[in-house]
Amino acid sequence: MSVFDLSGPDFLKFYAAFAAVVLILLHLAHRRVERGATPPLAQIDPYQIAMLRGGSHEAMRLAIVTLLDRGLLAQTDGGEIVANARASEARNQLEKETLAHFAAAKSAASVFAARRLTQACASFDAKLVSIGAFAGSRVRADRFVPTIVAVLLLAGVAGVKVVVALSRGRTNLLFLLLLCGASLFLAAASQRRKGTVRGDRLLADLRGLFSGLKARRLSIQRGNGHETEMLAAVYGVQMLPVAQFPFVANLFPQASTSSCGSSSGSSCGSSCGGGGCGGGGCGGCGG
Amino acid sequence: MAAAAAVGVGGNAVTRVPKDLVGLGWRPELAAGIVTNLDAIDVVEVIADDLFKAPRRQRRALRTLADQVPLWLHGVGLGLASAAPVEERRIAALARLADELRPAGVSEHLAFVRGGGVEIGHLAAPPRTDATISGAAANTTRLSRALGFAPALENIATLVAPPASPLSEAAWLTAALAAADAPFLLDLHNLYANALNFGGEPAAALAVLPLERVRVVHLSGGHWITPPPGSADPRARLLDDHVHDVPDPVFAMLALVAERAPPGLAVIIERDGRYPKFDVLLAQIARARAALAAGRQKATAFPYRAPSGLSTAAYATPGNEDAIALETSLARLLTSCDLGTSDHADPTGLQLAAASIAAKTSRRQGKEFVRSAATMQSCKGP
Repeated sequence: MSVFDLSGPDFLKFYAAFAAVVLILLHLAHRRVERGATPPLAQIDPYQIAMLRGGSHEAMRLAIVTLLDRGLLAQTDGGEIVANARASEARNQLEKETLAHFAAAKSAASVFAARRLTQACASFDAKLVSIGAFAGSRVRADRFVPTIVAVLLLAGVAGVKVVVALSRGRTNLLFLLLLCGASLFLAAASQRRKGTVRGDRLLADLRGLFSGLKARRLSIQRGNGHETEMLAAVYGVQMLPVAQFPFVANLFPQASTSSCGSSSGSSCGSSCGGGGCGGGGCGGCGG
Repeated sequence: MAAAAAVGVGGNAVTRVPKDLVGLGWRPELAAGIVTNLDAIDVVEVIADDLFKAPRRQRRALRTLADQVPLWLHGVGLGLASAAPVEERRIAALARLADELRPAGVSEHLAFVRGGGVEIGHLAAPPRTDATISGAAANTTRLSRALGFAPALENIATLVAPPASPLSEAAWLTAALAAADAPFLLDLHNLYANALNFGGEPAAALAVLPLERVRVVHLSGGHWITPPPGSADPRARLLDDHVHDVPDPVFAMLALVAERAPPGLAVIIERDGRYPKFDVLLAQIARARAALAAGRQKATAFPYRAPSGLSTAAYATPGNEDAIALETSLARLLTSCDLGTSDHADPTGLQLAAASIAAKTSRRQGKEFVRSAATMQSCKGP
């Protein structure tokens, strides 16, 4: 007796377990072909980090917030955004297009439908591909063989069962086809996934490096530049404290939540035995 | 691990000379600026004691950073320069962290931080005696064995002259470094402050130190503090607080160091608070590079001598109870602020040191410490 002789419900249980194993192995195979050193931190800027974390929309959100913080954009009484400066003050193509987009007052969300801004994000995408944080043609080619093997296994086992069932006059195959379809969809999604293992690790490392910044987010001041940009890039613009950046709550209403969970004070873990030897901050030897 | 510069020697084979590196101490407040400006920063130093209980992802992130920029691991909690042996668990913790982060080097202090069960909460200058030299050597040897290499040892600043000290600071440092056979982390502002506070001249203090051992240099700033009225010694003293810019004389001292120290220094600017705009710190990095370059131009030929390995100094003999008892007494004085019956030779310095430690403890506990004449006398705070 083979598995294909199992009754409907029993075969579905078997197929679900089989598909889970195949998809896990596919995931591991993809991770294996993508392994490598974490991309260099020096080669990535806040816009690329935002793109890595959440795609072009996150890069656009960061651009608006950064330009507002620098005074190059302003918010009208009606909550719309308008440019306060010329494009020559932009630091990259996205900022330039953003300033041009808001030459006349518009809602912040209007950027998401602006084709020129989407095109301006293409350079970030290309950079992330070049450092291995996003999947390019080479990564997708490396993923292809494991994906094809997985697809053949998933479709093949389901297909054999379909043939056996039909030959025995059984036509109740809807659940099997749905399960097979879902599995194939997941396999295809794994093949097409934009992120890579190296990109995931880069983002995890950035979150590790800036966990202290996140913990003291409520003390971030306007005009701080590096801290504002990095906090927003790594964790999202909703992390910026509303007291200092009130426009964030109005720009992207769904983003201002209390889920950040960070404390207002910095956590100073340095110690010399029971006490600490730190100076003004966390750690350090100053008097 | 320092980047090397190729140097032609008389038309013969090229000798690669390690390049001097200049960077910053890693602080959460500086993290964004550091990562954004890694192209201008050669080296980063992290405080080990901040990481012992840090989440694994934070340590893993620093490991990634260490793979991309030279990273020094700086301990503050061992108290190596003590006649008492450092607890094995503390040494093991630092060694485990070093194994995880794989830094370019590890450093600690020639200081004591506890005595008789009392945690001082700060780096304190031990009595400058043979006992503390032997203790430093023995403790450093144990740490070296755990690490697999010798840590660099740092001179510290002190507001109070250590009691019962027959040796000068320079003589004690030289002997301790030789006994431990360890590289030297020369904190220039510490040396500068000690020279000004105790009647010396900074350049002269520098001249008698074993600069051939220097591997790391710390730069920082401080401010002058004034004893309360009626103090035995009314002179102001320079507090090494790490929250001010590096002063001009310290950059001048760096140029002097560069004339004699071997190439491949790691020069680290320490800033623990009152953070300026990051451009200010980048300007100080540039200034440090210029000082190093000026010093190197004047350098005469010197043999590059890497530290030769583990010390062969004997362990501190049991029964060194007198030295340990003195450290205990000093630890209690520095933390109790009950100085009324103390016959310390430098009561003003002791008051200032104890108040500074109390202020730091209060800050760590989130309390405001009010420095007043009354609290300077009995520094338990409000």
